[in-house]
Amino acid sequence: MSAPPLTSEQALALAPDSSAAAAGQKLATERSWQGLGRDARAAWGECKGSALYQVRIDLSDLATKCTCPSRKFPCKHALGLLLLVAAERLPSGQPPAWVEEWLSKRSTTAERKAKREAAGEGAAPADPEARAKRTAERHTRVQRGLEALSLWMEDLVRGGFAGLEAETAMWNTQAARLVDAQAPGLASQVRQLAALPGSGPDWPRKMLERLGRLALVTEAWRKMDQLAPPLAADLRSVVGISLREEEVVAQGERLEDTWAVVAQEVEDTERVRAQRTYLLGATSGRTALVLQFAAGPGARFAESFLPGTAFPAELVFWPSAAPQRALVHERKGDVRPWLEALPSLTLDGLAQRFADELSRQPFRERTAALLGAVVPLVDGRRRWWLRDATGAAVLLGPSDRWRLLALSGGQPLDVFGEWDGEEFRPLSTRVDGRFLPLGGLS
Amino acid sequence: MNELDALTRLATLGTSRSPELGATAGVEGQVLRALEDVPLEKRLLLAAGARSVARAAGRKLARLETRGDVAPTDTLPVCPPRVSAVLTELLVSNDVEVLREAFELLARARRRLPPELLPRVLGLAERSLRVAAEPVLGERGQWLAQRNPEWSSVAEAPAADPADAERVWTEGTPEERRAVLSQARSTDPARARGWLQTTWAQEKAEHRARFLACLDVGLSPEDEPLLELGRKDRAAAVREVARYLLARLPESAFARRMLERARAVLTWEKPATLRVRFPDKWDAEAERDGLDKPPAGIGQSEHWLIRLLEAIPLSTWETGFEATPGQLVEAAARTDHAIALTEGWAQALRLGVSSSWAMALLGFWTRCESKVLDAERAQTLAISVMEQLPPAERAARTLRILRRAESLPSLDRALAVTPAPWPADLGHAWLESLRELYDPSTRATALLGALRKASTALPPQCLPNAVDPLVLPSPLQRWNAEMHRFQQTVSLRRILYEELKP
Repeated sequence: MSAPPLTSEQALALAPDSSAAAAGQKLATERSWQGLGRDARAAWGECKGSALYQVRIDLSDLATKCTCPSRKFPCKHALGLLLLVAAERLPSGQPPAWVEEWLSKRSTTAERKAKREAAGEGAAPADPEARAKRTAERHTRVQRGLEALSLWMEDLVRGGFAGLEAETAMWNTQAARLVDAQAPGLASQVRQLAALPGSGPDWPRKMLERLGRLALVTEAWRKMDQLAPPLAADLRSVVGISLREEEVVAQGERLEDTWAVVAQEVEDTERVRAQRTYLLGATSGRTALVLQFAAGPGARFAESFLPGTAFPAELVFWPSAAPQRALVHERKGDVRPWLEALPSLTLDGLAQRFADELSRQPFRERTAALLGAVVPLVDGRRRWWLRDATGAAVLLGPSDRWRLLALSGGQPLDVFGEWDGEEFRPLSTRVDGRFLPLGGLS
Repeated sequence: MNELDALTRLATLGTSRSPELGATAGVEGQVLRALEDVPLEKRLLLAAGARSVARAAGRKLARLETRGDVAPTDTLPVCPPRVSAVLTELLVSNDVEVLREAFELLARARRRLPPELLPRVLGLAERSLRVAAEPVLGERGQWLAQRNPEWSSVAEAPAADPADAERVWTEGTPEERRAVLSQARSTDPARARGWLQTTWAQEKAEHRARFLACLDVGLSPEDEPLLELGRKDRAAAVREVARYLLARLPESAFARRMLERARAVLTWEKPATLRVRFPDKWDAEAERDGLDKPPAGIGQSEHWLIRLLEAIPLSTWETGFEATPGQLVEAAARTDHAIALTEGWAQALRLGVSSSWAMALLGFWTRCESKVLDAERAQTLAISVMEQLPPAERAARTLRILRRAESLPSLDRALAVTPAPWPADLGHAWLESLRELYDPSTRATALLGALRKASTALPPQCLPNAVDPLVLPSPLQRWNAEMHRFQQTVSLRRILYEELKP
C-alpha cells in the first residue's frame, strides 16, 4: 500500500467550516461505516447517517462525491472518509460498481475537456473574417473607452486632488463607463481608487502613482502594434480582455514540474466565490497563480488544490512577457503531502526578481515568492519587518502577523507571500514541513 | 508628514492653479524631458507612472541589525495534532467551559499549546481562561506575550500589590471593591475588617450588605463588634447578613441569646414529643435579634420559629434532646408548627451541614399533603436543602430521583443543582434514560433540558457512550438542535481525554 496522500491536518483543512470539521472527525471511525475500502486510485465507503450515504474519493486529486443532500463541500461524510484515508485505516479492495461508474465518468469528463482543448488548438476558427471583425470592433470600443479615461484622469490632475472625496459616485460612474467600453480590468482598478482619498497622510502620492500606472496602460494601448506579442497579451489582460482556456492552451508556455500548493485565498462575494491558489515548482522554482471561480450557492471549484500537498503536472501559463497566471493542463500523478524543501529566494533575490519582471512587463503590480530563512520582527515604532540572514529587511503587510511571530519565535522560517515593491504580504509559512496559512486577521 | 515631492504637489494643487513644474531629477525628470511636446497633465501622469514602476523595481531594501531576540527553547512537548484541531474548534466557537477543561488537561498531561494557536489564546477576552492557559503557554507563549502590550497581563506575575489593593478599595467601583475586599479577607482577615470598619458609616445600604457578607471567609470572634453594627443596621438586608454571621460564632452574645430563647420555646418530652410555647413577652433585645413583626402573608409564630431555629446549629437539638434528626422531624410533624419548624431547621443547615438532617427533612416534605405544604414551596425548600449538601450527596439524591426512587426536588431542578462533574453512575443513568424517551413529558423536558449542562458535566468515563449517535423520536424533534450541539461538545471532549492521558 502506498503512503497516505494526505495528513489528518490537511484533511481537516479541507473542511468548509469548523462544524463540518468536527462532524467529520466524529465520523472518522469504522463504526460509522460499512463497505470501507481503497485501491491505488480511489477510496470509498457507505456512511450510516439518517440514511446510508455512498461516499467516494478520487485519490489522484482528492475530489470527493457523496450522495447526501448537504450543500457543504466537502460534506462531513467525505471529510470522515478523508480522515480515515489519512489514518491509513482503509482495507485494500475492489471498488464497487458505484465507485467505478463515478471514476469512469470523471475520466470521460476529463477526456472531453482534453478533446475540446485539442479542438481549440487544431481547428481554425469557424469564420475567420467574422471573428477578425469582432476583434477589431472590440479594439475600437476599448480604444474609445481608454481615450475617455485619459481625459478624465487629466481633468483630475488639472483640478487638483485637494478637493477629492472618497466613495463618491464619480468613481463608480467612470468605472461603469469602462465596463461599457469592455475594459472590465481597468474598471475595477478605477473602483479601487475610490477608497484612497483621505485614507492616510500619503494618499495623494498613492493616488498619483495609481493614476500614473493607468496612464501607462492607456498610452501603451495606443501603441499596441509596436509591442512585442507577449507584452501585447499582457496589456489585453490588464484591460480585461480574457482569453478562453483553449486559446491559453494553444498559445501559452508549458511547464512540467512537481507543483507544491503553497498558498490559497478564497474571496466570497455575493454571487461568485473566487479562489486564488499559488503553486510553486519544486524543480523549476517557478510560481504559478491559478484562479478559479464558482458561481452560485454550493458551487464547487473545478480543480481541488490542497495546501501543503504537491502533484506532478503540466501547467500552461497565460501568454505574457513575464508569465504568472496558469492552468493545470494535465496531472501526471497523485497528490502527495509535500515535506521536502522548496526553492526559495533571499530578500535581495526577491527585489531582483520583481525588477526583472517589471523590466519585461511594467504593468505588473506584484510578484509572489517563497522567501527562505527569514525572521519576522517588530521594531520600536511597532512596524513589522521580515529580515533575512544578510540583514536585508522588507516591511510586512497586513496579515496574521502575530501568528507568524508565534510560529517563528525569533528563529528563521520560510514565508510565501506577495511583494509589491513596498510591502511583503505573507500568505503562508512552512514550519517543519507543515503548511500554515496566514490570511486575513490582524 | 513628509514634504510632498514635486509631482504630488502639482497634482494636489492642480495644474490649472500651478502650471509650473519645479525642477525634477531621476526617472520622472527623464520622462518629463522626453515628453516636452505633450500637454502638462499627461506628462505629469506618465512621469508619475514611470516613477512608480521604477521605484517598485529598484526599491533599496532596508538593513536591520541582528538583535538576536529569540524565544527560549521549550521543554514541554507540544500537544498532539488532534488536540490542536479540537482547540482551534473551541477557540472559534468560544466554548469557555470546554476550553478551560482542555487547558487543565493539557497542563496535567504536561503538554503545551502549538505556537500557531498562541495569539488566539493570549487574546482571549475572558480573563479566567487566560489564567487557565498560563501553564500551557510554554516558553514561546511567555515570550510572545511580552511582545504585545495588550497581552502583557498574561506575562506579568499576578502578585497583587497591597498598596494597589487598598487604592482599589478606596477608589474602585462597588464590584471591584467587593472583589478586592474578599481577596484581602482570604489573605489578611484583620486588614480587610479594618478597611470596612473605616468606611462603614459612608457606605450605602446595598453595599453594606454585600461587603459585610465578605466576612464569611476567615470569620472569627474579632469580627463581632463590626457584626454588631450590622445587627443594629437600619437596613433589613444588612441585619440579615449580620445575624447569619453572628450565628456562626457560637460564643457571640447574639448566638447565646438565641440559644437561650430557643431552649425556652422548644421543649422535649420523652419518648418523642416536641412542644412549642412562646413566652408572654420577649426580652428587650429580642426584636433587634430578628424576632420582630413578620412580613405580610407569614404568621407571627411561624416567623419567630424560623428566625430562632435558623440561628441554632442542628447538633444542639440532637445532643440536647438525645434524639436523632429522624425522630425530631417526626415529632415536629405531629405539632401544629410542622412547616415552620422544618423550614427553620433547613435554614440552619447553613451553620453546619448534616446529611441525616437533610434526608429527614426531604423525606418529611415528600410525604406532606399538598394542603399542608403546597408543591411550589416544597420545591423551594427542597432546593434550599440540596444546595447545602456536598456535591457527592447532591448527585446521589439526583440519581435516586432519576431512578424514580425519590421525587423531591423535581428532576429538572435536581439536575440543575448537581454540580459538574457528575459522577459516572449519574452520567450513565442520565444517558440511559435519554434513550428510553419516546414522547413529550415532564421527564423528557427535564432530561433534555439538561443537555447543555450534561455536555460539560459528564465525566470522561461516560463520554464514549455519549458520543453514540442518538436519534430522537419524532415527537421530540424540537430538541434536535440542542442534541446536535450536545453530541458535538461531547465528541470534542472525548478526543481531549483520549489524547491527553497524563
